[in-house]
Amino acid sequence: MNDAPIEPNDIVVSSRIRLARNIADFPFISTCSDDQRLEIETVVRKGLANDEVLNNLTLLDSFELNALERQFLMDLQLVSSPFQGTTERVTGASDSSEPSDVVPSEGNVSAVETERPWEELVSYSINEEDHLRITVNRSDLDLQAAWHQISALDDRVENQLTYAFSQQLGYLTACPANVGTGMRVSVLMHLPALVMTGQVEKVMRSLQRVNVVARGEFGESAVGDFFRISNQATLGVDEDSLIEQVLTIVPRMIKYEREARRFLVEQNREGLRRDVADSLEKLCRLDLEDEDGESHEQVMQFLSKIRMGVAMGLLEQADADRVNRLFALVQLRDQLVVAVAREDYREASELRDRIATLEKGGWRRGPVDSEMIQDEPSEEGGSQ
Amino acid sequence: MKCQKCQKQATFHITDLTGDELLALHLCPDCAKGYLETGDASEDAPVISDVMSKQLKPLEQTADDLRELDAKECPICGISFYEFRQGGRLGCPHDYVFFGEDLEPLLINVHGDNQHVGKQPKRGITDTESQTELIRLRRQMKEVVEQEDYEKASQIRDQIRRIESEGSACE
Repeated sequence: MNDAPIEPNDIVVSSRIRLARNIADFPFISTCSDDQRLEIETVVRKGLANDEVLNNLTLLDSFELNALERQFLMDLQLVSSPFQGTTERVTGASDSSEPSDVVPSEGNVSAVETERPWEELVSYSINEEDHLRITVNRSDLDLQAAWHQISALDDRVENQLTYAFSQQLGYLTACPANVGTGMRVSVLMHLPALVMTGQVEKVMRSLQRVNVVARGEFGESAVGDFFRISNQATLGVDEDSLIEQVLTIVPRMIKYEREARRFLVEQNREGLRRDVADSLEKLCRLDLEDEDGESHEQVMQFLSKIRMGVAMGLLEQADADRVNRLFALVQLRDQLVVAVAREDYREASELRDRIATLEKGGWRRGPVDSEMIQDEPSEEGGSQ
Repeated sequence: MKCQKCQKQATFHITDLTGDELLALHLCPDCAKGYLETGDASEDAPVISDVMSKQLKPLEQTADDLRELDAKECPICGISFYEFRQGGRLGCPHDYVFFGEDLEPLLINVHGDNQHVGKQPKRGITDTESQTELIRLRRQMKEVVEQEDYEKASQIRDQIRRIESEGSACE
């Protein structure tokens, strides 16, 4: 595998490495009492605070984040290529605003490194399935760099805490599926055409032969056609080989998705274009403030189509601009959530004003593909 | 029981860990062979069939034997093998020792290996015995506190502190 490294593109969204670690002198989370969980949290926090690099973290309690806020955090994953380069220009955002750096966490507490752009974000989650999980995210596929980074951080934590480790089984984890290196290497991929052509299951099954698994990223049914490709085994294979296992698969997946996209275009380009434009129109009509579970899935499906449409050059320029404004808005809201969590109210008020300006600018209205409106009767026009 | 993939009689009962989920499969010999072989290249097939027979043993034995395995409880954290099978999560690091033999087929099935290679803690391997002892003592302390036996609790607390200070003295 000496090919040139693959740059992130319309199919590869991001990559990450996660290490699962447990403290030796506590039981695993499932048998912990509430007191013990609290004690673990205290011990880990104290450990992080004792290190000059690790203490430079913002701690976010994910229980404090409501579902809506968590959703915005998840949306960060979407505000990646191919839109990212253009959002600043479209919003006219000031240079002083850094991208936010927070990842969603299902667990108890996440400590987040605040100095990096979110793509290269580090997070520590305490008391999820394991006592401690360290995650490094990247917007590219340089997983070797991610490994060096996370391993160095892991060393620092290890100077403060004693990990549960055995010579034979490596790092001991609550689930036997993670024991050994405790490492999960993964690449997030957007595969809408494979889903649309019904090939995705076949492709996923073929991955098992090379010790790689794929799972839907946002919920079991791969909402929005996002899939996370990761290593299956964690025991008996060293970290470099695990990275290699996952990276080997990526070019193949890209090829399959490209072929499927080409097939879709050859079959019915106009239908596909209309489908994408329609998704954008419907998304613009949705009230994004009203995000319950059901509408979330819809939003993701629309976003997926739009993302693919932009990548395939299926949108008119005016619509592409609307998409950029939409994603800029999502990104600003994400930053607002983070600013509030950090209690940085000066930044929060700035962000609030920028969001208001963007909303007033009428991102929903934008120049509309008039042809499309005529093709598709509006929803208010009655059900039949 | 019928095979989950075809209509033949299911004779293979496989517990698989896919990612973080425990998956129970009931398959006929043909489908089981196919299922297990997709997990890895063919050169590992003999190992897998060997593992399979080991792993299937408990399930092919009488209900009593199964019950016995399920009832096995870790003396340190108190989790039973049944609870592990249900939840898919172990209770403490010592479970890997206590349920060692019972877990091995599962580890081989998921990872294709049972020996760690790769990174190790730089400080060297810690004394797992004293760590395990700490888990056990903390649990015991909680129990005696619940019984309001504070004399015993204070003894255990001192014991815990002694072990903890020994640990940090070595660092």
